Amino acid sequence: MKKRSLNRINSAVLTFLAVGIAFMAYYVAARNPVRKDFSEMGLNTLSDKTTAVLRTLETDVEAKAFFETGSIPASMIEDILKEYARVSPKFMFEMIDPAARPAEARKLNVSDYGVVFIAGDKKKNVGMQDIFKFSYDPYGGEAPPEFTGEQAFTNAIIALTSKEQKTLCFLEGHGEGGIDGSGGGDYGAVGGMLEGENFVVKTINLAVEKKVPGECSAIGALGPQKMFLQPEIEVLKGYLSNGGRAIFLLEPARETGLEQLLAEWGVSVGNDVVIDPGRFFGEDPLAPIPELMPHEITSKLLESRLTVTLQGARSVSPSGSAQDGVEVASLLKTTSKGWGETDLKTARPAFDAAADLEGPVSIGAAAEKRLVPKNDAQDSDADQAEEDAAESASEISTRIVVFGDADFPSNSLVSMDGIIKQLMGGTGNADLFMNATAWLAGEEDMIVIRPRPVDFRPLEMTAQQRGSLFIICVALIPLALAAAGAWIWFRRRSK
Amino acid sequence: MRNAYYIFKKDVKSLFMSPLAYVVMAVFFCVSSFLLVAGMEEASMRGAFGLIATMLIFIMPFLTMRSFAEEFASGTDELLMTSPVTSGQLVAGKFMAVMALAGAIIALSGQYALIIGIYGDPDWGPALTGYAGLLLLSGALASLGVYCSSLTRSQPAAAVSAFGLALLLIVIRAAQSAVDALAASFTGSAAAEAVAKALSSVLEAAGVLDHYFDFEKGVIDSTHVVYYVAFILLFLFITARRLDSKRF
Repeated sequence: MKKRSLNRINSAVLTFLAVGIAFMAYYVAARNPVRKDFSEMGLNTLSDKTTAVLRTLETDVEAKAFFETGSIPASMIEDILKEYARVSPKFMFEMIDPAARPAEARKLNVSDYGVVFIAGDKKKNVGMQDIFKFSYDPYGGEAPPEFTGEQAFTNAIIALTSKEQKTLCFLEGHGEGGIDGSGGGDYGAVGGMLEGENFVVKTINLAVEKKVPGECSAIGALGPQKMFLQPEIEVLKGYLSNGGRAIFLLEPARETGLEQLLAEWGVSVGNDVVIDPGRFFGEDPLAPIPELMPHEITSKLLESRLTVTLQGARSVSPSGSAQDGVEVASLLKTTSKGWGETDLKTARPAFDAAADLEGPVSIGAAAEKRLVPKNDAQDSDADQAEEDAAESASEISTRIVVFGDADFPSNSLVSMDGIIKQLMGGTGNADLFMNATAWLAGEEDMIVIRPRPVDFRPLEMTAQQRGSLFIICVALIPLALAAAGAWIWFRRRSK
Repeated sequence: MRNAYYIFKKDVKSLFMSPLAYVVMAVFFCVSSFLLVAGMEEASMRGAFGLIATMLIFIMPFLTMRSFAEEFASGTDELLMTSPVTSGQLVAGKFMAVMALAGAIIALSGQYALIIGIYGDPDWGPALTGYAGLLLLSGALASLGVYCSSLTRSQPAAAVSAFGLALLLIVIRAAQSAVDALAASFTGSAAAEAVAKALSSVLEAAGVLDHYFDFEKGVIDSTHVVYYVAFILLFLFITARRLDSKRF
């Protein structure tokens, strides 16, 4: 009897210890989690951009998500907000069911499902229309909504925590695509992305204004179709000489008058059309998929192995005619099989060594002239001097980016349905433009790969195939299992 | 280990030679295929995994109920208890036998992976992690069921208690929102708010199904792996202690 009691006590103590050890093991694991995302596109991993924004948070940001407990949107939002909280201790979130806690919703003036981001006394609402995007299904029927929550949340945090807003001015008056336009040749999609990243986007007309407004951190000419007037060229010349920043997207067979100005900055714009039989989209060598050259602008695209698809491009190469102190680098190049065809009217293009530009052909270039050279800094601490010089060079330097194609960041190649965009292969088009703009604006922290909408992979089967599978899976397989059970039963009975 | 293997072999034979296992599997796949195949639109296993995980909660108690309850009811437990097999070996053998049947069910769900592989271009990463998650979840449910089976000589009672406990470990998460609301109402007392928040964290961590969802998304998180492994070992350990206490 005594032994039995002792055994019971022993058993109880051991059980208690086991429970304690299990809890401790879980506690330690929960405090030091190791996570690995095995999805192909890293869909459960926060993008480069989100991680960069969260890691540089200086103030606490709180998100209050108002969703019905247990609903699908609630679990999707909670999943992603948990990832945000894992990256930064300065980010906190709370899931609130407005039906269960209406007072919370009233306090923040919330009348619909969504997420409210709060930083100090500033607030920003992100609604369902920003979190889920409904788009046209090219195959007919109702397309499933894309989950764009990460983009929306990160942009809300940027808007709440940014100290200043930089202005980007896009030129008009020469047939450029509209930065807020919705047409295929316009740039509303990347324009919206720029605004999401806290830039003020506006259009200016140099012929009217006669100068580049002081508020412009950078200017852009997106696919000009007509010649710039000489006074406008003079304005641009003066602007660039004084540390201006500009991006030019130039289409082939369009003379704009900018060619001479760019040549002075070491960028040669060819009067040709680039053909690359070595690497192109679909069956069109006029739609090259160029190789990305190492540069601050392209670094993240190279790391992520993203590709860029162009549609009809001209050569844009570094030339030897640059002013002193200008550094020019190529950003995109065709394969060695590509060439710059100078006979723009020919129906049967072929490489002509005497007239054409031999490959690899550069299709984009970046020029920079530091007005405060790096080695001017005289601080005793060498590292600090280098850091300061780099910072001041970023602040006081001329930067120019030129691409020989105006289509790659246009709505037609950026805002298409995810499936078509994947087929087109131009998955890095928007990032290339956005990173070039960030480099021009001196926002190097924003040279990142942006979050992507969660993709949808459809099952392609006919109604007949679906019917056959239904019969196999619902009837035949279970019947086979039941028959096996019946056979065993009969065998056991007969023994 | 050899003793555990003999127990495993005996139980596997008994499980696979029982018509019940086949009936359970037939019903399982008839219901899951009916719910899945007609509405399959996406080349992803996520829907299938969600359904299989939910159905495992219902069927695992049927697979585990015999483990010890049958031995107790038929009196064969005395033979086992007096044999040179330790309680740990006994529990390990019976647990592995149930896992063999659960593994067969999970493997048969490969029919859905085959469909999405033939008619779509799935992302296989989440498919593989999803299967890993299903094995861990079924392991947790099996250990819970084996424990419940060691508490009674009645198989229905073992199944009902295992199902009830599993259900409690799922719905416990629902209590979290109530506790959160309570925490929000404690605006005056920091201590009460802290206690409510701590309770909320415990409830969040306890949900047996909540630790599974990351696997089906393609994420392997050490926290979830440790939760399931600790859960399985804990219940197997207390089952062994329970058998030990019966030996004396």
